[in-house]
Amino acid sequence: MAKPGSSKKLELANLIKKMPSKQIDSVFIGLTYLFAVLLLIFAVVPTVNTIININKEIKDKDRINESLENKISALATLDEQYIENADAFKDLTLLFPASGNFSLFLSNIDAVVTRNNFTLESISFSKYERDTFKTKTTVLKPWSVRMSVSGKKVYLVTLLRDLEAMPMFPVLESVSYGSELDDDGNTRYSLSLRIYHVENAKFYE
Amino acid sequence: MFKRNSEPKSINFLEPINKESDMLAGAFSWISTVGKNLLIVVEIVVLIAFFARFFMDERSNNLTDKINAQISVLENDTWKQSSVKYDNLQNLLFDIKNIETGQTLNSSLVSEILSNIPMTLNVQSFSFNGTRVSIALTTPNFKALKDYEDSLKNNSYYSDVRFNINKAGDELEVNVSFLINQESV
Repeated sequence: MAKPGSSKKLELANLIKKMPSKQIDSVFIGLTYLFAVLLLIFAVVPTVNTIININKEIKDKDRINESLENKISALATLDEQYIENADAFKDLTLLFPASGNFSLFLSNIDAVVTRNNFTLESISFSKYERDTFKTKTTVLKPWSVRMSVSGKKVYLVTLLRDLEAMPMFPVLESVSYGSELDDDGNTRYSLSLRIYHVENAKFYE
Repeated sequence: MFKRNSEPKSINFLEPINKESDMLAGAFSWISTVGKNLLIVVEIVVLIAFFARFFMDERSNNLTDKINAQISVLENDTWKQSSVKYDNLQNLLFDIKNIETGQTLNSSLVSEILSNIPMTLNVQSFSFNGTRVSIALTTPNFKALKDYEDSLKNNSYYSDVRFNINKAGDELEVNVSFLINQESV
């Protein structure tokens, strides 16, 4: 039977014999770092990058999804509001016609002129060619109206004010008159107004 | 009776460093300690990445489906038409607000010019065209004419005031022209 002291010595000897030398140890430490770096470069970084990309993609999609949802809900709300105010919107087609049909303007002009004791003698519409229109508009474009009316001088200013108070927001561009009177003692006035219309014929469709 | 251990009892520190058995033992030791831990870490990272991708891909796909569904709703002709119509109306209302608040009405301007002409001056013709005003007057009253000229020339709202006076018998024939300053319009 072996003595306990001698077997302990034997184990120690085996351990020392099997233990790698310091040089081998350094090689394996180096290998460990190398593997760690390789793993980091070729496995962990691409994986993290992929996850970051997918996350970014999800955020983008979330944003698009939210804006689409908002658009759909806004359109639904606008639909309801449009139905509620359909008549008012219908009036816009008459106030600012897209087809060159100034029938509402003509009927309003006639009413305003008559109300102020004037007589409408002629009216014509033409392309606006002045450079006095400075307001920035995207849809509404200016249009020119020339008209001649006859009546008393005393009512002229009221007539001009009433013309500019019409719902189409016309603006008086020019006014001229002379001293000649007709048989009824009326003066003839030439007026030029700026009104607005929509150029796109399918605008309201 | 007892067999002696065949392994020699020696403590030999002079064995070569790169002995094959040492290399194998070192490799085994590395694999069982550091390598094992590395493997575990890598496995954990791979598992996390796998599950993260799994859930994220699912979420991304769901969002794509949702977006496609919404786009197909918006591409519907009725919705498309409504969208264009409301865009147009919004622009129109914006323009209306602009012209309502941004443009200057000239009727009050004409009224002011006409009311400033003294009663003793007879207006033969009047013309207002944008910013230019021309008036033809007759009067026997020179003082009234002079006062009117002074009032126009002293008014900062007007500029380039011109008076052209001709004498015809007892009366003075006057052509007046001036510009309305843009700032005052």
